[in-house]
Amino acid sequence: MARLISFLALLGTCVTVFGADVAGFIRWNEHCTDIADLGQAKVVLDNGEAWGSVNRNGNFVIPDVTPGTYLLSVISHDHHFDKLRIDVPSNAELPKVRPYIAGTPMNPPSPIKLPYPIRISARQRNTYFVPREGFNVLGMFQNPMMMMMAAAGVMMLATPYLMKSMDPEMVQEFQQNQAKMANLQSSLQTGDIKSGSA
Amino acid sequence: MRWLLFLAGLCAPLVHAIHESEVGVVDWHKLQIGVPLTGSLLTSLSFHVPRERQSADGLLLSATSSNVLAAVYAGNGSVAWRYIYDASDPIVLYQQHKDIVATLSGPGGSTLRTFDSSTGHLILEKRLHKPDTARILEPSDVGTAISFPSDDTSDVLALTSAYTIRRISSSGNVVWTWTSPDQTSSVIYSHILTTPDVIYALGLTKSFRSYNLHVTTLSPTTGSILASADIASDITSGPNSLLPLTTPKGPQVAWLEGEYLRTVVLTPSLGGKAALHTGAEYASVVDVGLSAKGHFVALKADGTGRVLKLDEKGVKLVWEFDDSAKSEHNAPSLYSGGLDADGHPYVARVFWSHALQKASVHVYAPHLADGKGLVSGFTFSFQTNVHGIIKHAALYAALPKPYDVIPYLALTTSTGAIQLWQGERALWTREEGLSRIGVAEMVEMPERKTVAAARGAETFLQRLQRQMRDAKDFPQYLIHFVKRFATGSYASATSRATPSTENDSLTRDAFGFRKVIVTATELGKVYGLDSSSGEVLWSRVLGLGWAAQTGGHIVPVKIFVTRTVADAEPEEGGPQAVLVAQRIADNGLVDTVVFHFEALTGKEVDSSSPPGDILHGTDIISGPLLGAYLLEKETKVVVLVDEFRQVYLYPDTPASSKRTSHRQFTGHQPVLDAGLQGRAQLHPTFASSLPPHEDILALVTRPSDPVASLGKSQSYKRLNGSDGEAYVGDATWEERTWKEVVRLREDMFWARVGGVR
Repeated sequence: MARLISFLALLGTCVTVFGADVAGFIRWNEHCTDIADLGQAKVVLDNGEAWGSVNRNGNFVIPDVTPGTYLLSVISHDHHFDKLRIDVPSNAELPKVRPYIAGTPMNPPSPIKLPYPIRISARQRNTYFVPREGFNVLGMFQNPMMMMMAAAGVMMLATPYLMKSMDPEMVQEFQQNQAKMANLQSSLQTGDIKSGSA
Repeated sequence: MRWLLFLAGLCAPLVHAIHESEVGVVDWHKLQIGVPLTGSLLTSLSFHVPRERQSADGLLLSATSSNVLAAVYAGNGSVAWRYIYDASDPIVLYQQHKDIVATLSGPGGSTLRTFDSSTGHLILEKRLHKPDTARILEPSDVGTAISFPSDDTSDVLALTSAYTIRRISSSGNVVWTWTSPDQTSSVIYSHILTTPDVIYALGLTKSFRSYNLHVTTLSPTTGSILASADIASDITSGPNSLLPLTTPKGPQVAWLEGEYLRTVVLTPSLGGKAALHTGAEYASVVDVGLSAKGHFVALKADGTGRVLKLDEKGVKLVWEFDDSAKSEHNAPSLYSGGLDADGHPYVARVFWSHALQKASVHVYAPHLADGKGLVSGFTFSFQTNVHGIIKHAALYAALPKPYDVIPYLALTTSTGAIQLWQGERALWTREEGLSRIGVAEMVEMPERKTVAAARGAETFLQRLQRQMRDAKDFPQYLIHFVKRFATGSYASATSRATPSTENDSLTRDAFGFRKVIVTATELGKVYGLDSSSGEVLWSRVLGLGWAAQTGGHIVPVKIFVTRTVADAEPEEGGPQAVLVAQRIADNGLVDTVVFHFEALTGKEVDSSSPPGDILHGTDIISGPLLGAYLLEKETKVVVLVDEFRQVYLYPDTPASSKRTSHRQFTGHQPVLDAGLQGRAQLHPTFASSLPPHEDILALVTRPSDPVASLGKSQSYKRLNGSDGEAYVGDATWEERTWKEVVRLREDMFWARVGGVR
């Protein structure tokens, strides 16, 4: 029994989980020119399960990543970066890098393969401020209420022309209907409902 | 209430951002770095002077309690850079060398980082071992060290987990790794000493009675082991008692054995014998950061401080500080070492004099006066009532003229302030205590008084004088009036609500945005901040009461505004606040203390102490506090509950105890794993007050039934004495009717929801 336990203990020391380093670099571009522009930034896998910091040359290393599929994202205060899908194989192969679009399923993976070490660059600078809005006539008419008002106005102007082009009998009927409606309205106002309904 | 929240949620998208032009106008933020650590020389505040620049461009480096590595400009106290470490990666130590700062962080020093000292940019981040495989030692800096090889490379030597030394190149590659072959044995390496030819790893190994010094020498280029030997010694304290020193004779190690100093000269073959110096008896040795210059400080049993130097002839006493023995006149001394621009060492003794009520610094310069040494003394008016006591002092010395030493002292105080003193002159103060805010409360400011009201009888002359005084603001008023009349410009919500004139201070702006933020920090200080600018209006140190003798600290629990502007009559004075805090003395006793002060000025309400003094508290409970509430009636009363659920009132007047005769029913919600050691913690979630003549006699839990979504998990009834389930008061027919109506309504409710009653 003791021998078995010692064998198991020996086995336990042998089973070490292979941990690969995931390395890459940030390519400086017009959105993010250098480390002073980027500031303190972290490259994380999934929700911060493993992470590495970006150094002044833009390089980063995420140490001891256990095999699996991860979503790589860059946490930066002022810049927005693309997200990537990283597959860390359990053998000594290099990690596989694929693009990932937020909101799409992780599987099946994208057929496009990106080179390793990971290259990633800033897509845009985060803007935390809204521009001050000036007076804008077009913007005002894009408001649904304004559009409804405009439509009603057009109808009002167009009614006489429509009446002209209509069949005389139809016009008569329409006028009768209108008179009825007017009568109903006035009766409602006076409170004499009986006369209106007649 | 829910509807209110919903409405607030609807409104939220409309005000989700501010315009870029308004940034810094209506809002503000202050860059803090955290309170510098003072426990070890390797994490506390230190000067960094770039070689090619003047001292005015110097930086102050520190690791802080907020787990931040930061640099502050010595010239003006502004933040040069800061690097925020992850919470799981605490800073163990930092070392500066040339233009880089290297740090080890995480368990056992698992991660090495190097920074450019002038910009704070990360040069290198290297994981040295997995955090979970570290050998955990206490304190955390034992078994970790950083050193730099004595060659032209910018490589780093890192000792981690007490048994592994790595040489890491500037690009992050590990040049070599040496791991102690006997990890299982009890050798704990703690220091690295480098020479051009050899690297010495110093450690302690356990022997029967005490510890033995163990030294291993390694090749700097390959990391291969050259020699390894135990040096016969008898060290009783831990690894921090070893002092590795660089001397003209070569590297040496000094330690205290019993009462005598013992030193050994290190050679690559480790053939040196330890020499015992029986000339003087010492109680302890202090590393002042001058080990590269061979200097250190040893304290005698009576506290007298001596500067010692190791040279060719052995230990040499270079200076004994006068009157540095423990006495009633002076507080215990702090010793600190520093360099000047030419690299000459200086040793300073900083102490507080109870007699003078001032702080003093004695700076010893060994190289001056033809090598005899020169001491310059300064007394500086450190405000102990404002900044507490000096916890750490870092020294940099300037030598503008021969024999004219000007010391620059960077002090870390117990309230979390960082101060830079140039001799007797205070250059700047940073209130880093504000990075450790415990509790805070907003207090409204009173309206501005336009015309002082006449009080009582006034003679003609007095009235004339008053009117003349009032008339001095008239031109300004006129200009404002004309401007407003002509341009229609009124106070804008998007302009800073700062006072326009001197006498406007501490008055509200047109919209009431400007308030006083009263806040208490974990370091025993209470501040009044101007909400429009973030400036400190006033600050007071919280007094320790009887615990001042033993030492202790004050943990703020809650702040209540006991008198607002609306409550206060003009002649009564301004708004008042009460800070409820727990005083934890160093002997373990916990008391609950209340501090009562004016919110606008910080003046103590009963004004027993002068304005510049510390704020005195009132002991309420001789024990810990369970909870504190504010009862809002005509006057506000703070109710404190001790661990035996006894109720204490503040202020405890007959009127207030009468007012608090009514009951409150409070519901607590347990939050799992929120407290210490994974214990659940209770948070009050709701409270409902009962009328004065009612009592809670029992709580009846609602029977469990299919109806699950009722909002509250408990319903409660107020029972009246012995006659079972009846509502309070059967005296009048009104009460009886009301009771019946309520019962009917409840029945109808249960019937509708299908519950069984």
